[in-house]
Amino acid sequence: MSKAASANGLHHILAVSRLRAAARWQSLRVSSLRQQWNLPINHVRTLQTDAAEVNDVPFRKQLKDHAKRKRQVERIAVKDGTSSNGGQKEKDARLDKWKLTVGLEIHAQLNTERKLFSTAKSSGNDEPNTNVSVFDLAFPGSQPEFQKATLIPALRAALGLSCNVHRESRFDRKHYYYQDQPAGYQITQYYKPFAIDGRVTLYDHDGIAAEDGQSVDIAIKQVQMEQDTAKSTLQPPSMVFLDFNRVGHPLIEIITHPQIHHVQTASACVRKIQAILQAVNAVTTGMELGGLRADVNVSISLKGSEELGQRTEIKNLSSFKAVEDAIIAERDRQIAVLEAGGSIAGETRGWTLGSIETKKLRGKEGEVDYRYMPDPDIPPLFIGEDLVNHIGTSLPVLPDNTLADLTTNSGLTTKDAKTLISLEDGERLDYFDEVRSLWSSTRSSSLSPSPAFDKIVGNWVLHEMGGLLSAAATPFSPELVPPETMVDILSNLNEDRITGTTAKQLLAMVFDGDKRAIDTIIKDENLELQRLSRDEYIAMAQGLIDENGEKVKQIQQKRQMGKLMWFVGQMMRQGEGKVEAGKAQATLKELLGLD
Amino acid sequence: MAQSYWVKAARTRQLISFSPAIRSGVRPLSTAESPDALEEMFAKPYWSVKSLFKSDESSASTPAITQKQLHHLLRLSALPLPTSEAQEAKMIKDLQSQLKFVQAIQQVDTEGVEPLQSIRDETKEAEKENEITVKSLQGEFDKEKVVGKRGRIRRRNEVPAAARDKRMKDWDPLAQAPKKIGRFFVVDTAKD
Repeated sequence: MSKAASANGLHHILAVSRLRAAARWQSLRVSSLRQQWNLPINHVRTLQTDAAEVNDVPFRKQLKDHAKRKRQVERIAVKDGTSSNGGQKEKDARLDKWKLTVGLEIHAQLNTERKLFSTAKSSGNDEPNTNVSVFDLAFPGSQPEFQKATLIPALRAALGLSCNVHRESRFDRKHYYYQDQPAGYQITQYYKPFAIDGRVTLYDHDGIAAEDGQSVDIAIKQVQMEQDTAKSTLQPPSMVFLDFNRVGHPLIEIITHPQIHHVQTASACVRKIQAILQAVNAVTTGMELGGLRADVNVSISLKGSEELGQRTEIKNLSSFKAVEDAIIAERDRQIAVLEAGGSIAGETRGWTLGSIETKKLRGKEGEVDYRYMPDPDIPPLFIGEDLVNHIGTSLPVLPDNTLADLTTNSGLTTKDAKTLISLEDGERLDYFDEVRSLWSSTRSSSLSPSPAFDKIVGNWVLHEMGGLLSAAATPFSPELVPPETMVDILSNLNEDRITGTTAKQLLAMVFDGDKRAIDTIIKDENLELQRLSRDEYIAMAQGLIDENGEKVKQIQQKRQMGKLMWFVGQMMRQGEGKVEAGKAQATLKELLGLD
Repeated sequence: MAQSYWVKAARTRQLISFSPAIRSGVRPLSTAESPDALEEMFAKPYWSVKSLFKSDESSASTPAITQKQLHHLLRLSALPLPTSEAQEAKMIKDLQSQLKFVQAIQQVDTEGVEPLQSIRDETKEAEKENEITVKSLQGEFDKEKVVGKRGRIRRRNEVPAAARDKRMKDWDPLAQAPKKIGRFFVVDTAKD
């Protein structure tokens, strides 16, 4: 058997065993979900279709599988002598010749109480087929009733993306037959969407490609409202289980202009749009939980040419990494085809996590003719100007503005600020704000920004609390360490009544459930900083210097300053919380004759 | 040709007096016609649908419908493909002749006319009435509250799960399902 064939055989075996392992993991996860309904154990994968599907294999496992598969392929390639590391240089050379263009179509589930055209409630994890009205199941004679409450999150999304809102917009039917769409058509806004001409600005800290510089503006073509489809679960070999709870739930589709030219910028764009939608409360969940998915349009053209190449569409990408990987795979495939002299067919392709290449879903022969038609049962939508203004003025602060505020007025680093914004859907940030303003008011009555103090608060809320939370594996709650208590700890620390170590101790005690006031604890446990006199510092320092002649020589002669901090650490250990690091260091420097 | 029919009909309407009883009275717009004249007028049809099939230019301008096109249309409509050559030939023939009606309608000049989407009140008053304003959504805004110092919006009370609409309380969606397992509808895609 030739080397190539054996490699392929091995690859195939690995792929099959991976799928079986995934199936086993699936069944374990499902049975542990504590659901009451009769769910067959071995449901594996949902279909790659127009339907919005939830990828049920645990995400971490998928990434591990993907990495493992890549390593296997690498190992085989190295063995065969076709290692891609040598090919990396060729790849980069090809990229110099070709320009990538990407357009995004993002579908996000709106945060509404009811569905778009029926009064059925939107469901989280309810029992299947309970939140379904006659219109959702397309019973003959049933009529749509537009639920105007769904406009609120839709408008918030549109204004968060700086769009212009049309006063009048209409709903159209997009016809195609599929079992997850009872009516045979999806109600969408094809001819006249409710919002157009928006933009999203991406900065270098958002994770755009280096080639895009400090910032890049991506224009948004339109935002439209449309219906979601049912959840279908494949029961192999050919049975499909349908849960219509999700049918008719409002989605917004955000379509960008094809202005993205680098892979990381594309995933950064999806991430940014998700962050904006979450900030304005337009969506309930993010991409990881299936609340948001992206379709990407990829095309290749020669660098320097104005025209765009033929694009292909990759549907149903459900993670940021999938977006990146799929675009890279498709770009490489298209370059390979074009360089071999072929041409790109305008087709729809699919991507599964862990793949090496996109797979064709529908070609030109299977191309769907959607026969878009204005829906005669639904009157045009008229959005009042006062409504748009009201929503605009009451829009929550957007992530970029929050970031600017935190970095400028509160002295946090960009990384810390971004983390703070994203944790617990903004709850940690609210806690930070509470502590910061409370402390500021106890110090002075003026409202001027105080970056030095805010930075301390940020450090404690993010890192100290974060450490305690992850050690205890508890979710965050502002009740764990009430803001007033946190302020007490920090002000005591700031006034040098306690040392840093003691403060951390106090925090841990309160976190573990100690309900006493901070001052009480300090008094009872005798934690107050007892300042050592200068003589005591000198005595302690001198003792250490005498014991560790070697290290002293290294500091004095070889100028190894790190060893100085070792001495400081030793003094602090000996002092049992009574030694202040700064004073210790100063004393040591004095005794050792350093400046 | 079809247009001339309408013109003729309009003129004929002008000539006819509708009420024989007042035929002898003064009617400013109509001229008195005897019933026999009317009888004669209506004896021979002025126009027939068959005229659409006669003209040669229309058959030359329509390209023949190919089998590929027919199958594409049937697939789009989720209809079964023809089972025999004869059936397919008949389908194509029927479709081809139906297109002639479409062509006749396409003769009408619709320059500058907005297509009708549905029959509804399109006056400015109706527009104003149907406009969605802050007032019409006040109930929804009252269900929200602002949280924190950065304007974050949250619902006041989380929507209780599985609180079904009163209207649908007694209705089981699965009652009509031809095939179901547990609380799921079941579809066999192999039959496709």
